[in-house]
Order: sequence, then C-alpha cells, then structure tokens
Amino acid sequence: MSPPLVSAQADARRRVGVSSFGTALVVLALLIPATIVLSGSVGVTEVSFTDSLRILAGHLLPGMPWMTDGSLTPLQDQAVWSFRLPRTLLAGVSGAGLALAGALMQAVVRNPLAEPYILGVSAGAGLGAVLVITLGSAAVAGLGLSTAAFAGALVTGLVVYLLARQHGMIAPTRLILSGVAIGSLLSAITSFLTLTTEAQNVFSVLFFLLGSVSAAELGDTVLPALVLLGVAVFAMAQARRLNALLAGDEVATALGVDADRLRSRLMVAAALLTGAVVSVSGGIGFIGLVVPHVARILVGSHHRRVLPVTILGGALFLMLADLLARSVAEPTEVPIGIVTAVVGAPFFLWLMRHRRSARGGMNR
Amino acid sequence: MSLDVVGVSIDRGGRTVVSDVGFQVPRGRFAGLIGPNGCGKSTLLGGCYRAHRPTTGEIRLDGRDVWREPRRRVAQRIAVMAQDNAADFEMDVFDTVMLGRVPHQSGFGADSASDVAIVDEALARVGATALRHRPFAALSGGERQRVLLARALAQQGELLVLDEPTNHLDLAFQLDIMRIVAGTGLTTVAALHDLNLAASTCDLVLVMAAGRLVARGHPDDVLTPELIGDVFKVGARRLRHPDTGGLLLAFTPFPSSTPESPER
Repeated sequence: MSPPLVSAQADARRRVGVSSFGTALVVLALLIPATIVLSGSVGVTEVSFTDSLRILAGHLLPGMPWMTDGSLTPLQDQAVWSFRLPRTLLAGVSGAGLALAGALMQAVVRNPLAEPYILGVSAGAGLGAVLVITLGSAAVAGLGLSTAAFAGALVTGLVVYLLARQHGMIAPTRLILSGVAIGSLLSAITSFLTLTTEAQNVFSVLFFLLGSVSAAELGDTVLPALVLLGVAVFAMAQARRLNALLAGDEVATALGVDADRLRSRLMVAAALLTGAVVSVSGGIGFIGLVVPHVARILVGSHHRRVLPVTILGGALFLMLADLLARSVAEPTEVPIGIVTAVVGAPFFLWLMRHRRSARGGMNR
Repeated sequence: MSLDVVGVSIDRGGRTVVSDVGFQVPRGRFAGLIGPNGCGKSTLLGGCYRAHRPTTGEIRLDGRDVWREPRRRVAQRIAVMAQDNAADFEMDVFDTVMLGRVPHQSGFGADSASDVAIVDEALARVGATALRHRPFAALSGGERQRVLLARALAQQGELLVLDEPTNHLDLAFQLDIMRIVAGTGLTTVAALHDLNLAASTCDLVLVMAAGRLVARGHPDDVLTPELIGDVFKVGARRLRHPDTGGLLLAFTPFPSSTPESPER
C-alpha cells in the first residue's frame, strides 16, 4: 500500500491549482509591500523608491538614523506617510474586501456572474451618500457622508435579504432578482437627485459613485479592515462547506451542511463587508466580479485556495489601480472605478481566452 | 446499521409526495426502491439524508431519529449518491470526491494524508483513478456517476443511499456498480428503474406508487405480473435466467384500451 500512497501524494501536489497556490501566495506577498513602497514614491512631491522605503520603515521602526539626519524633507515625509500610505492602504483593504465579498456572493447564489453589488448594497450606499451631498446631513438625521452610506448599504442589504426569503430559505434566484430590482429603484432616485442638484455637487456625486480613495486618512481604513479580518476568518473556516455549496443544496445537505443557514450567514457577511468598503471608498466596480475568477483560473475552484488568493489579489489589484488613477493624468485624479474597468477588462478578457482558463470553468 | 422508516409522510410545495410509508432495512441488506417516475422515491430518500423533512413519522438509524441528531453526525453515518451535482464552477474529480470528507473534517488547514488516501481508494474502487485530474464538468454521464459513487464511498457512512445510481451507465458498469455497492457490505437503499437489476441484486424490494408503499419483500415474491401491471402499467412475464436460475422479467406494452390485466 505504501508505494502507491506515496506516489498518490506526490501526484496530489502536482494537481491543477495545488502547485500554483504556493507560488501565487509568495508572489502576492512580495508584490503587495513592494507596491506600497512604490506608491509612496509616486506623486507631485518627488520621493525616490529608496526614500519612500526609508520613510515607511522609519515610522514603523524606532531609532532609524535617516529620520533625524535631515536627508528627508518634512514635505516628503508628509506626502508619503500622511497622504500616499493611507490611500494605498485603503485601496488595499477595499480591493481585498470587494474581491472577498464577490467570491462569497458567487458561492451564495452559485452563479459566476454574481458580484458584491447584486445585493443592491452599493446602490443603497450611493443613495445614502448622495442624499448627504445634495440635501446636506440634516436630510439623513445628521449623519456624515460615510455613515449615511453605510446605513444605506445595510438597510438595502436587509430589505433584499427579507425579499429573497421564502419559507425561511434564501432562494438564490429571488436574491439576484430582488437585489437587481431594489438596486435599480435606488439608482433611479440617486440619478434624479444628481440631476436636480446644483452643478457643483455633481462632481462629488460622480466621484463617490465611481469610487475613490483619494481623500483617505488612516482612520478611514480601520472599520473596513476590521470587518475584512472578521469576514476573512469566518470564510476560511467555512471553506470546505463553501465547496459543498457549489455542488448544490441537496449535495451540501447530504454532506451535513445546513445550506440555508450557511447562505444566510455568508450573505450577511458579504453585505457587511461590501457596505463597510463602499461607505468609505464608493462604488468601485469590476473588482468584485473579476478577481475571484482570476483566482480560480490560477489555483482552481477549491475555496481554501481561492479565498486567500482572492483577498491578496484584490488588495494588489486595487493598489495598482490607485497608483494609475493618480498618475496617468497627474495632477488630475481619475476615479479609481474607471481605472479598474479600463485596465481590468482587457486583462480579464486576455486571461479568459488563455488556455488555462478551463480550470476557472470558462470553457462553457 | 439498520434503517427504520415509520409512518413517514413528506410534503413538497404544498403537495403530499410521500404518504404514510413504513419499512425496515436490516443491517447489511440491499434494498431496492422501485416505482414509476414521480412516485416519491427521491423525496423519500431525501427524507433519510435530511433534504426533505417529514411532516409525520420517523426515520431511524439504529433506533435514533435522523431528524433529531446533529446534521453533521447524520452525514457521517449516511453516505449519499444524489442524482444532481451542480457544476457551474469548475471542480476537478479529486476535489469533487474530497467533498465526501466534509462531514469528517473540521477547521482550517489542508486535507489530511488519510483523507487523500480515502479519496484515492474510493476512486480506485470505482475504476476512476485515471480521471483524478479531469474537470468534473468535462466528464461523460457514465464517468460522472462513477465519480459520484466514489464520493459516496469516501463519505464512509454505515448506510448507503443511492438515487438512481445506474443512470447514464452502460451495461457493464451498471452490473459493476451494483457489484461494488454489494461488495461494501453496507446497509443500502437504492432507487432503481431497472426491475431486472433490482431482481438480481436486491435482498428486498420496496415498491412505491403515488407516494405510497404498495409492496415490499423478496424480489421473487413481490415482482409479480399483477403488481408490475398495476404499478408500471406494462405487461410482464416471469422467466428464469438460463444460467443463473434467477428471476428474469420480460415486458410488453399494455394495450391502452384494455382496462383489465393482460395476465389472465
């Protein structure tokens, strides 16, 4: 028995996706810090890659000599630490959160076309934010912009959830349809508000709806980061049950998985995560749909491999998108949602046509 | 382990699909559940693995009601080969069979070496080792059935529930699959369409019609031309297999205008 067992295990490591999983993790784990440093060196105030690294290290580690020897100007320090780092981190957290929420929603409704926004959460957040921008905080009980957006996201998620319930079960098709319907309704109201408001507000509205991390402060990343951490731990603990859910509710049930309860919990987790991200960064599109598919193409459909690659890949993708968003038309900022679509769509289509896409289930 | 089904009725979509069904499958026996399409076979099997909750009655494994046990515990004891397996997302054969280990696994981390060995052994038993790396969705109907049986074997339950396991299978593998299942020695309930397969394999047959259990017992005793005429609306002759001496059924269509039994 032992020789075939040994060869079977060696074989297991050669399987599709298993061998590339380790590589993908290592590459992402190296590229993410490199991107953070690179991002510190891009902008109007000139900072070299090395100086960016020195500033970041100097703030994180006490007693670094270059922080006090006058080789770095206060302007450089402020640009890297107070402006570029927070927005890069927010981009990373937002990208990771949207990508993870997308992967979860695809499993919840067992549909490769699902993305975080099918819950109508982004439309709800958009309406909340646009109410504040066009009518002022007083219109929404004195809430600030991101609080109003978060509230809008959660209320919408809850309404869609309740509409999708039938006999105590979440029906995937009803979930998609009610999310789309509620989303359209709220978007219509948002559009109306946008068209009837003063011209000066329109720019802010568009920036929110398309998504942006430009005004980020470190404090903005705290809530999305905490929610991301919680949801990521929960999702990883459910990775095997998620696989069972992909095989169908009956199969999952036969394997001891409470499909309805798992689906409800995943939906709540995805809605919270999406709401937390959208309320700070706006409705950044495309990433939640595409990153999970890229992850599947790279490492196969098993959630224990897909989820970590999705989270890290989403973070990296949005960090790079932000880098482009503020450098292509410098000093003008492009909304990051435009960059994710303009850069992401061709990349995704190329990947989809690539021969390895079979493992992501795209040959059907 | 023995299976006791006691006075079970199951509703689906407001309609009673299974109505007051009761039977026992003793430990280690192979029971074939037969009946025309829509008679409630799949729903009744679903009652056993907790997909469809009975409105009345109990389904007991060694005396314990499966609907009062923790879900996961039930899934550790009942291995299921269901009819449908969604494949909207690509999964390879190995991962598909590894799903059978879900009720036994917990927490984070990779699949253990023993899980991998169990999956490989299950694949070998159904002759699907060569399919290991293939995407499940790219398999032929027969190959899929093999893989789904492997998943049920990897689940390592004490009761095996099979919903039309020989669907899409060529003759050789129909016989093969029955031999594999019988070889496990597990208590088995299988929904079957082929009465000759049921007659040659099962220790007992359970005959359902319109949600009710209309007959049960040894295939030789139960599969009479009268019963087959009543339940399946076809004419049947009982023959003896020239080599094995076993029961062999030959069917003819019912003349649709003849209300009475043709077996007079």
